[in-house]
Amino acid sequence: MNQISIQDLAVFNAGESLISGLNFIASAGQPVCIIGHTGAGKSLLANAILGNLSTPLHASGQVTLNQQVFDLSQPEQLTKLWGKQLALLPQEPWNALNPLLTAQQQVEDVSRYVLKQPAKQSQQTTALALQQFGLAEANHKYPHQLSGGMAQRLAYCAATMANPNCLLLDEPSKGLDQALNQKLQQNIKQLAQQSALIIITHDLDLAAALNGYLIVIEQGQVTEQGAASSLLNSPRSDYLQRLIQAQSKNWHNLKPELATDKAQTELVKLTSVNQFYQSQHVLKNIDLTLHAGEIIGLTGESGAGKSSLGNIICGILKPNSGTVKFSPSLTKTDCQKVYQDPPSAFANQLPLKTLLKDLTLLHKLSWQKVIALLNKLDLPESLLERNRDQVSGGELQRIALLRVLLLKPKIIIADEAVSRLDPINAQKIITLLLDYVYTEQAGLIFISHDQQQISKICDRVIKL
Amino acid sequence: MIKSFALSQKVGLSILSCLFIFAFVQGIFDSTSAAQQNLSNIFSLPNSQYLLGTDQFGRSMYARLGSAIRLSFLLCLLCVFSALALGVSAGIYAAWAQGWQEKVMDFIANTILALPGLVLVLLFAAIAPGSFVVLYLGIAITLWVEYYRVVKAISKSVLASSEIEASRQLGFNWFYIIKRHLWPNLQEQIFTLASFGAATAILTMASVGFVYVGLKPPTAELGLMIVELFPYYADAPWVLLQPLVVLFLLILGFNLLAGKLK
Amino acid sequence: MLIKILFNRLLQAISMAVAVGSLTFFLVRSLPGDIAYKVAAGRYGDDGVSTEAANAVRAELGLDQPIFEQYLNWLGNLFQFDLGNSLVSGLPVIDEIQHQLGYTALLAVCAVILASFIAIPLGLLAAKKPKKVIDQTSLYTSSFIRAQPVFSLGLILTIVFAIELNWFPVAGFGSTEFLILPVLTLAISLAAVSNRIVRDSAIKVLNSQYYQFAKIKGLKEPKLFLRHGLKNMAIPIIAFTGMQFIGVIEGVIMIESLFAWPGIGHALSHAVFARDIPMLQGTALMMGILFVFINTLTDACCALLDPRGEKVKQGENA
Repeated sequence: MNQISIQDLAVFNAGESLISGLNFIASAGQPVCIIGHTGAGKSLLANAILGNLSTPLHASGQVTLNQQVFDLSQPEQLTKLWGKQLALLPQEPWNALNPLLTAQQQVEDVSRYVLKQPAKQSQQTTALALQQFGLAEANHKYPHQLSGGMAQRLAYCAATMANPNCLLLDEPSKGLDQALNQKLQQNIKQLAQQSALIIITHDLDLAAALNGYLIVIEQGQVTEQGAASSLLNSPRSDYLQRLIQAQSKNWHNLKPELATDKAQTELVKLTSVNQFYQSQHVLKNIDLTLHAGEIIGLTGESGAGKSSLGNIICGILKPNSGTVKFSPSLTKTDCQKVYQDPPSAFANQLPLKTLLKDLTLLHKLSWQKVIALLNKLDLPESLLERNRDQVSGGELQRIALLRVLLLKPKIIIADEAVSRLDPINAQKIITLLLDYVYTEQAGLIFISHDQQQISKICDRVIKL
Repeated sequence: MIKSFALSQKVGLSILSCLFIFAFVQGIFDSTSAAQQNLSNIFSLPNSQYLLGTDQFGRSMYARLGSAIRLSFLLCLLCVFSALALGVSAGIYAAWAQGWQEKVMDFIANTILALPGLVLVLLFAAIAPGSFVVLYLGIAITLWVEYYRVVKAISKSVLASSEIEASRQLGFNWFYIIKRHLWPNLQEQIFTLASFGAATAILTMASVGFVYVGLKPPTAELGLMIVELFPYYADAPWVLLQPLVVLFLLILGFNLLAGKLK
Repeated sequence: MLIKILFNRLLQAISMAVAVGSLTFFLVRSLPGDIAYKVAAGRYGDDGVSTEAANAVRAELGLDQPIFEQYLNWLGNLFQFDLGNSLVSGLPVIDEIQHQLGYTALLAVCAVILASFIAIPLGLLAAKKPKKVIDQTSLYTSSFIRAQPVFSLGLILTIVFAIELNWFPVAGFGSTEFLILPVLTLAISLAAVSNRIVRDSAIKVLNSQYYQFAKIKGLKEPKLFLRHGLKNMAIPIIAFTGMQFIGVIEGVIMIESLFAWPGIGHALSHAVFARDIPMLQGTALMMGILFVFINTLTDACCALLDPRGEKVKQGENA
């Protein structure tokens, strides 16, 4: 049975210790999930175990893979194991594919040149493997012709082609939508039966589904570990507790008990709106009215026109046909949008303070309002001295929200506004949004692919 | 800005500053003219009257180098600023307008790009030999295309991003978008292009001078000086060396100042 | 894809030809003074200009016709590859250029090959250990050489190898030894730029996530490099080579003039000097067409090598 055991793993940057005192055993049927903050050095872990750290990073400790013992401070020994014994599914696997090779060639790398199969056999095994991953038709396609999910499966197929004894997965579910995530979970589960898996993630659903061993890391230290089932049911560490609470399925109903007799003020009314995107008819005869104080959820597959509809509702996009009628009291700045990728909504070369000052100047607002909102959103003022790329995603999204709220908009479009954030930050943003919507009687369009989230917060849902 | 310079850029700036000071100190304090001949005193070694010796006509090399450096700086300033103004505004305009305006400008830019710069400048030089203005025009026309292409490419990607959509929705106008979104992303590239452009301008003027179709004697121009002094290499290698070194330093200075093109 | 590249490049070549034709035509005629006298003065020297000489030039260039007609004729002839006769030698421009092109091609091809032999191994060596001795040495040497105008470089080589050491002849053509200095000059100046491009491109590929992943998949050298490095590095380098042909052509003009090499570059600078307008137009056109042709080739290569099409090229050459 395949088994990998890690003893006293530590990672250093020059002299500074980043991770220390990690011990665990992963084996076939007993995968290990490592959970921790973004930036807690989790990604270093995978590379440390692989022996793939680059200077000034280095590791110490011991790896035992099926009775062979290796010293982590001498990573050259480990590189010999790559492929057949030790493999990795890297983060953002679409970047791990060579853009100039077809799907088949990327897998044949392994069957032909690592497993040394003769050409004909290698072709057959590759075709078979691709088929198993649902990539039969992608055989001769190049990475840029594959969707994100297909690219991930391809990388996965290549990484596991040699049936490695131990496989490391680095944030495998990052950036995938729910449907793809389900498939991925199945694949991983299957693989866990034969290989020793080490999975680095903050996806608790995945950890629960695998039902193996769970290790929680904070600030480079293990804060708690144990069987996933027991740990997830009775978490002791503060971080794990918060993470579990922040999962959307565990949210309390966030909708306040509001009287239903709210004034039915129409903010915007769409009648038979049609929209084409690259000659595809994405929006067909949409009728929709958004009222003050109302939250409408928009959901649907990617490419279904969710963002287009959002843009039409807030006046950024004119539909190809149909009418959009805004309440006459609304001005242009009354419709605002919160974006999926927080940094992409800010100018990149300037401190955030400059950008907010520009805004207060333009709309003759007092800086005190900014300060007040900062306090409300739990953001230190010093954060504003930084540029957009020096602030974490969760904080930046709150600043984006602050910027929008400053203008007291009547319509807010939240376009996948929390889907790139970890659950704790996502919950924070949503709570703030809802709070605003109810107190100011604004309308909110909440675009998301997370059914759980939508069902917890929206008055009604439109599926595109 | 200088604070954020890399070491090599600081070195480049220092070299250029030294040349600049050299040329202007000469211009202000040295009374000898670059054209004044003294046939009884050719190829004299450096002395108190002729700090850098004399050339084949007994002209002061100090005066001639000073004059040549001032000429080079003048030309590269003119060329770079004209090309920059034209290229940057055309690039931003094309990125903004898109459609046929962009196509027309791309067409013009592509036409100019089809000719190596030196060939175009030589064509201009043929039309009015010895004219500084024509030389300037020729060089500026070859230089602006590079700004146009780079500025357009960057502006297009910035203009298509959500940050622009967000700023517009927040009520900001086009001037703000140029000031806060485009310019900060462009300035570094423009600076690099301007430095390289200055080097190209100086190099091009020297090149056409070197093949005898640039500025006419007795103008003190580096390429011309080099080609005129080359036959006297055996008599006075140190005199030939002077314009070679100055030209080298000018181009090196601007190349270093440019920093690394990203 | 390929058709589109060819079409765009053809369009570019035509617009360039019209522009060169128009430029020589209009600017020459918009100058103050009688163009025929000016041309004659250029040809026979200021003292030798007589009315007959000017009239002969006038008739030869068709200067007595209305200007618009002259222009159309001019362009019409251009597209029939009738470039007129050289004002200096009296021979058809097209024949002269054909003759010179061979010499230029010899010089340029030798130089490009030599430059590749210097730049590619050097670039790869530097990329293997970035910021170490070889890389730093090549950086400083390259910067030093790049700050030399190509004619200064040629002069220095001439002084060292021809005048002081007397190994090669100073200038001219004939046997192989005349070829060495011009080729060396051009090759060194090209290699000074391209070895850094090779290095940057190699480092980018070697550090890429897909190269790392290929290693982790278990691929070993040399298969690893052949499958995941070579082609990926080659694309930006080939794309750059197209751009570098500006350097080749500009270098050819200077080097041929310096070494009195009877190629097209020498002819161009000579035509400018002698104000031999048909020859000037012909050589400029030829260089433009060569340049566009080379760029078409590199575009086509990149398109064939790279399934993603043209877009990667943008911004990768610098």
